[in-house]
Amino acid sequence: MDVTKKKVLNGYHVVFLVQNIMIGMALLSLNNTLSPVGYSQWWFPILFGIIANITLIPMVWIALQYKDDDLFDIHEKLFGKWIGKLLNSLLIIYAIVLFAAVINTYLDLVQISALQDRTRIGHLILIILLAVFIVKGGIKSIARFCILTFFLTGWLIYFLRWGIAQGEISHLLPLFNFTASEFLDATKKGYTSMVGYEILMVFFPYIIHPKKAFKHASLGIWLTVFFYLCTAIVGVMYFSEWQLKHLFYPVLKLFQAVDLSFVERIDTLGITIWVFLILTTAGGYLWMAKKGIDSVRNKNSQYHIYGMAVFAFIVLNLPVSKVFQTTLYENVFYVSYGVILWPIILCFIHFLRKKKIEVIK
Amino acid sequence: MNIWKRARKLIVDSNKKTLDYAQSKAQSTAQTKSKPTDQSKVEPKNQSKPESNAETKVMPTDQPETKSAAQTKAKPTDESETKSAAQTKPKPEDESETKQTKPESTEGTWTKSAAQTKPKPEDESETKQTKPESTEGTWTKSAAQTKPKPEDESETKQTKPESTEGTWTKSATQTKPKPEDESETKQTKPESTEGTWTKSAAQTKPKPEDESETKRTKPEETGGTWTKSAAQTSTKPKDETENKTAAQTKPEDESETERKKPEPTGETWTKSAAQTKPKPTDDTETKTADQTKPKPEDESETKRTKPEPTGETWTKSAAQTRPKPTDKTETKTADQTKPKPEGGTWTKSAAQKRTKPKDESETRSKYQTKPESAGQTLLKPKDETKPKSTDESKPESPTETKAEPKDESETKSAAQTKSKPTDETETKTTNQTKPKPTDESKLESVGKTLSKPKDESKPEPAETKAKPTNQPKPENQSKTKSIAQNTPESVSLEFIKQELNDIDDAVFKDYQTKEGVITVIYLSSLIDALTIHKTVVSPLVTDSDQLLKSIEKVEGLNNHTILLAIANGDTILYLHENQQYFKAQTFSPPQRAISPSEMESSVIGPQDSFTESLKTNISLIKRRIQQPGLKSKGFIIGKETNTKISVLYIKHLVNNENLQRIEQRIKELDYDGFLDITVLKQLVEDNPFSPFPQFGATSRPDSAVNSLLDGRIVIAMENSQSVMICPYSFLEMFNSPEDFYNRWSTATLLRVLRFAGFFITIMLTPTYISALSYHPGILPFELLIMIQESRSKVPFPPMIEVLFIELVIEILREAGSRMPSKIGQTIGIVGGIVIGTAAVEAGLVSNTLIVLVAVSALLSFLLPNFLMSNASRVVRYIFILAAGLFGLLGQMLALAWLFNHLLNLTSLGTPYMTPVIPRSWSDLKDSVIRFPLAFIQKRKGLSRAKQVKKDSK
Repeated sequence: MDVTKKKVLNGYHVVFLVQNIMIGMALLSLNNTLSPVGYSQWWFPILFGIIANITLIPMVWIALQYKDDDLFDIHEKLFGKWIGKLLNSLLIIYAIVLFAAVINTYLDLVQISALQDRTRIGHLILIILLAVFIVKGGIKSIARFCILTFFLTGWLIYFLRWGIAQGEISHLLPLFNFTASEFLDATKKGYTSMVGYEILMVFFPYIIHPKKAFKHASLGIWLTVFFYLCTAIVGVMYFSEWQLKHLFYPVLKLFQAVDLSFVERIDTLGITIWVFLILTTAGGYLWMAKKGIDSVRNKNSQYHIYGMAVFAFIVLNLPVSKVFQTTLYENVFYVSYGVILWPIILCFIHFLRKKKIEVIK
Repeated sequence: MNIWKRARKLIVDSNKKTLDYAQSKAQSTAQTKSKPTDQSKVEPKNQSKPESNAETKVMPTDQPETKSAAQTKAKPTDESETKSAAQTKPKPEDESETKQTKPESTEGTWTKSAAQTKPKPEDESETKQTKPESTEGTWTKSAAQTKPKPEDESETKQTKPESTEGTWTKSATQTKPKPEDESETKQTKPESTEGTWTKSAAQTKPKPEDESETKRTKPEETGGTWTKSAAQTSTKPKDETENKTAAQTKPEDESETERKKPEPTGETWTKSAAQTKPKPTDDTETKTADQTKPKPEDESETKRTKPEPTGETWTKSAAQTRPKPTDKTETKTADQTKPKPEGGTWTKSAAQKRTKPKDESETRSKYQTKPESAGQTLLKPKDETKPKSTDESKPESPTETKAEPKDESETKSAAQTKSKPTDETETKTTNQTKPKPTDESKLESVGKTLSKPKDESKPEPAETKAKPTNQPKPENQSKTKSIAQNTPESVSLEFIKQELNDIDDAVFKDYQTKEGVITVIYLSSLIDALTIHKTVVSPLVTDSDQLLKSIEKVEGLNNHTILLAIANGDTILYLHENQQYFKAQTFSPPQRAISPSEMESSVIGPQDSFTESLKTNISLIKRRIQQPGLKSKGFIIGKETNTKISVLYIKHLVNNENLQRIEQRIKELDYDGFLDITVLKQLVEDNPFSPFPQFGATSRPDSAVNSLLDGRIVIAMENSQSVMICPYSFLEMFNSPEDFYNRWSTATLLRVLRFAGFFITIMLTPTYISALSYHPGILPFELLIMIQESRSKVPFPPMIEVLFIELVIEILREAGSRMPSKIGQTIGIVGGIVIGTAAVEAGLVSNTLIVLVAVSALLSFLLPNFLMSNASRVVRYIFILAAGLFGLLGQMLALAWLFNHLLNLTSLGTPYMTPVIPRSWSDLKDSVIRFPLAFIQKRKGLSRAKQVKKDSK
């Protein structure tokens, strides 16, 4: 049923797709990445939300101009076949690397906290396999999984209660205790946590009500911002500035503050259940890569998913130095800034081409 | 149900009749002569006429009325009185007639027909008129035909004013007020074909009767008799035979062709017959009936076909080409209502066609046949009468036909049948079938080229003697195939016997009745002895004609339907006289009583549960939803088992797309045997690879009804103790019908328990593994110490330990459920206490794990749906393995797989996880939390009912 229909995503799907693809590993280290601005970081998620919402406008606008085309098709239409395909290939690599980055950071975390004495190859394969299974069902399957993930992981926010109880609310002030360079540094690092909503441009043609897509996507963004804000506030209240700067996963520490009689260390549960959020994010990017291959090869095939998964697996296991890997996985998020801003350029080109066409006429 | 009622009626009626009948018998016995059974039977009737004849013949429907009229004298009394008067009066005449006929015919068959025709009232006038003409016997027959009409009238008195058919009133008037009849009959007769006239009247009358089954049988008889009369009127034996044979041969050809066709193709004939024939035959029967009638007229047609050589083909062409014009004329005549104009038209047509001597006979036959066809055409709804008439005509012809075939058949029949009297009748019947070829050959030879007779004559003997044998096939196949589709078959008793060979519970019993010899065929293992005695045997012995009227005639007669009916537990009555098959629904295998559900027992609420009987199950549902909107559509699935299933739904609620989907899936099924509805369920489910059941199954009628009211589709199957509900959602697997009988708070608590129980049973022991293997930090220190202490003697890693004890529990559960219940208890004790304690003491498993495993085993039984609880058992092992591999992460990955799987499952195309993936928010009011009933005002989004709101606002 879903396969035959092109338009499959309703409002709920859009909201939770955007929200769950955005939330990934970045949330776990949010307080750390925002640490350059110290205690003033807690309102940064709101700023990011505003920025995200603004950058969402050109995305939705350009997508609305090409209602039945995703980002790859728009590229081919605006830049011609070859340049378009080149850009699409770059986008595919971007998606795969991001996919690998998300999984890689998560596996690192798992190796640190949950499964210390295990090589990561086993669960790496399992996670990629699961991502493939999820993506195989199409974007609607991912969307459903996103909704489920929201309900399965959203309750984790309850564990912040202990952080609030033990925190100091006076940490929230003052608001602007930072310099411009600190601000830029924090924004540059911290905005990686917002990456993910650019996939909207890829699944836009599948949305049943494209005109409402902006509203739904914004809702998704602000849901994300809500989670980030809670985490940031509790983190600011609970930790000292030194801790913020030196704890790489402050959220795990927040989990450890939880005091339950029947479970000692809730952070293990938190980390393991985080796999849902990882799967949604990774699945989204894997699906994006699949669509990219479809577009480049002008052919729809489920085998593209397997191919992309194998490609990602190879990327994850490249015999390169750890330093190179970390720089790659960190810098790919800066690439995503470019992707997020890219629609603005697309809009300009769209205008130019439109004028050109009019002139020719 | 109707059958039972009818059977009871019959019994009651028979009791009433027995008095009269006894009297008549006494008379008849006194009067009867030493002739073989048939003659003696016939004669007594004729002689005893005043009481018995009138009654017996009229009986079919009227007997009770006439009796009652005579006894009680209610409104019907007038009619009945008139009838009785008419009957009594004619008697002397009839006697004279019968006397006359006997010497004339001197044939046993003729006497029989006379006996049949005896019912006098009309006969008087008719017979008088006819006698001068020549063939008195035929007239008497026609009279007999007309007589049943009055019965019909009395029955249909109510209907008459409504229908206000000219013919109808006429017939009525004819029977009662003789002057009118006489005038009418006189008018018709002078016109030319009086026989046709009477026939038409007979035909027209039966029409109203046809509506009821019992009525149907009458017209058949009348038609048969009347055809006879026509044949008689023609005076030429050849002509008679021709007419008869024409009618007979066609059906024979068909049957032959049908039989032969499958054989050559190599396929089992039953299949092909079942597939191809049934539908066309029904339609075609009526058509063929119409066609067969015109055929005699069809001289021109036959002529056309003659060049073709294939007698079969000509029957087709005749049927195709002529029926239209004939029908028109017929209908016209019928509309005109028998009066003279008809006769005029008839005469004209006759005159036109008659030029040749053959033609004359044919035309006569046409006349005779025409009225029939007219009656049929007029009575289109009554189509049943048509085939019957053809059938009837067949038996007559054999009697008329020469004795050549008889000898063969007699010898055969004698060898086959045991009872002497029956032998005669059987031989007659067999003769009838066999003679047909002769008749046909005659007809062919008379009117047509030589080639035709060859074809026809050959196949016929083959059919009668050894139908299964393929000899005729090569010749007839091509020709006969095309014909067979359009025409009803005649099925010979021998064929049935041969097919039922080596079935030790197949019963063939011959009963000598007023209607002639009747063979009763049934499978004794499917029919309760008392049932068959009450419904068939007893009425058959006391008053067979009533029985034959009350039971249903086999429709779409062919080899397959007959054998299928027998295999279905129906009782087949074979009336040798007319070569007719009747079917009584006597399927009454031993059933167990309705008992409380063992699989889904409840404390409050209705306790009844489905049984293995489809009828019982449907009645359990239908008595809860008493409205015509509840539909139950029947299908037969399983190419070997022929299992009946019934698709139930409420028409104004069910989603058409869902209905379409499930019906299409059922129709596309290609599977040989269905032993339980769970088999069907697995075959029609959306994802057969999933461990989860995607359709609901319940053995509780209240649960099924609740689904029906929600707009779902319920499928019940014969021999299946549970029904299937589709579509169904994952969360509904945790619902019990008891939830709606409890207070909402209790129900909510229980549902939360079940829902949580499912996930706990999946996660409990895996968590034990991952906590001890990978994440000891998860557990509080004291708990960890305790567990480690209890495990201190266990030499295995936690995963082996868990797998071991889980398997032991699984084995215990399986052994307990497979063993005899008495041993099962000891196994429970041995397993639960001895093995558990011993295992712990031996240091194989830890105490804590025993507790956890026991709890998770219990939790898995919380689910009301047994298939779901089985699914949870399977899934748990996946989680155990995942936990053993990757600890909590493995569990979460397994959970992600589980949810992704569930999310992608569909039930009849609708999402399986329906309230979680919100389809409609109102579903949440009846999901894990059951709101008070006042809040549940909408049907589930899952079922996509046509009326979403439950209240009528």
